[in-house]
Amino acid sequence: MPGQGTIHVLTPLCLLSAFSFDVSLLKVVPFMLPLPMPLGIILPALMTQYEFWQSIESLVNFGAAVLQIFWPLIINLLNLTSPTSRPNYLVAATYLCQFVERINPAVESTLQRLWDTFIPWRFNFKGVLGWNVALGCILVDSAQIVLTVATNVDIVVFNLFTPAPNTYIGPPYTMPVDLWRGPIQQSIIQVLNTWAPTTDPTYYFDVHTIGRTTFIEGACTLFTRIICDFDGTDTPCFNDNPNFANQTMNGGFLQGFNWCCFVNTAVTTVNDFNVIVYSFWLHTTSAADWFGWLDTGIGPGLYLVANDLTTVADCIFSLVDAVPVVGYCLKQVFVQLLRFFFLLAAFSLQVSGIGFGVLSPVLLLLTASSPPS
Amino acid sequence: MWDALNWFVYGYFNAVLVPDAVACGASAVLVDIGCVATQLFDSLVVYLATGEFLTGFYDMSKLSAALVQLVDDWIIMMCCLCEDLCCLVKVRSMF
Repeated sequence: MPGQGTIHVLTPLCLLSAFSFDVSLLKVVPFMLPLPMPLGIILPALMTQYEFWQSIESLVNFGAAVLQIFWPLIINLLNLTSPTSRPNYLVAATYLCQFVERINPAVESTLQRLWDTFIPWRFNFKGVLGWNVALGCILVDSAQIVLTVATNVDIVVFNLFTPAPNTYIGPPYTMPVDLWRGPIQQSIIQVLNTWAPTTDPTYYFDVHTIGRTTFIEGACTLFTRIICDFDGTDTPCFNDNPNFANQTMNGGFLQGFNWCCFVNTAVTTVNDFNVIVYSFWLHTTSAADWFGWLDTGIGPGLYLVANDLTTVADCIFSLVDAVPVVGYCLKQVFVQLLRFFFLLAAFSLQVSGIGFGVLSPVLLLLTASSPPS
Repeated sequence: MWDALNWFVYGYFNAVLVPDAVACGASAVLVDIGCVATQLFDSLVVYLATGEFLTGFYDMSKLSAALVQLVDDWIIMMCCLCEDLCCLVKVRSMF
């Protein structure tokens, strides 16, 4: 019988032959597909995971959601009639995000299986791709917001200085910003837009992170696992006491620098910057709405980002703390100097915003006196 | 790529699949194929044929379970004649 003689033979040569299809290899790795390596063995391993097949369900439903958007438009086109409603991309985005959420644990389990088979050191893959899920969903939701705005931007263009009813085109919820590090600070968002679906802040600040891994949690899991906690036993890499934050608890390499501190503060900064952008989209019904937001809405967010940047600097300059005697003072000088510049920049930007705010009534008056023909 | 596909279709069938199925017994795999086909008809075909995809969404949970079972039994069948890394992708209870 062809190939029968090599059934019990397993040599490095046999593994090397994984780059070409060989009957003997199929006898030691029984389920392969004719794909380039390592995809030829990763994909079959994926097929053993329930979540992998469920992720295909999400893809099918994503396709159905896209079809359900285009089908009425196609019918309208065939009948030469105007569409009765504008497309809503929310459902399609939800299914695409669900796809990322489902394929992730399947890939983790697959990598674990292949690692355990070929690599002699223990490494726990569970949760190391969590950041990937958060990032994927953030990207999908951001694309959905951009598409929604692009599809409806004519409403704003044709109603520049006169807000029209039902013209809110901003994001329906805060998930794209919540998934960076957790629910955002509600106090820095201004919801005063009359034409928004509702002025009730809870509408926008529903908690979207329950049961989900935020980017910062996923990134910290990845860093912790690589730096010191290979087995995933939840042993902290660093001392919880902030005064001894750089004291390594668990050995490992890259000691002396608290990566979680850096990642945490850096992502918080990105997150708070996104909150400013998000807050901007809540005021997209007219130019007056935009200027009003620049006048009174942008300030708290800018100062928050300035302070966030200071905490990032504090984490980075903690390396200087290691210098004997003068280390701590040196760090404080650097950090406070940077804080001064950050706050100065925030102040300048807010003054510019107030300038726009003052200018907006003038523009409105000019427009009212000479309406476009 | 084409050579690999060609080999997979003809060589794999003659040199691997048939001998293994004869030696190890393919009843479990055949039953699983029947289950997958049933679920495929009950869910996907009905979903597409009735036009439900224009208004509703697809539930693949039963088909997913049947597919995992098929892959698992397929690997068990292919493992019966070999050892060592044979169970590389076999589903284990730890997952």
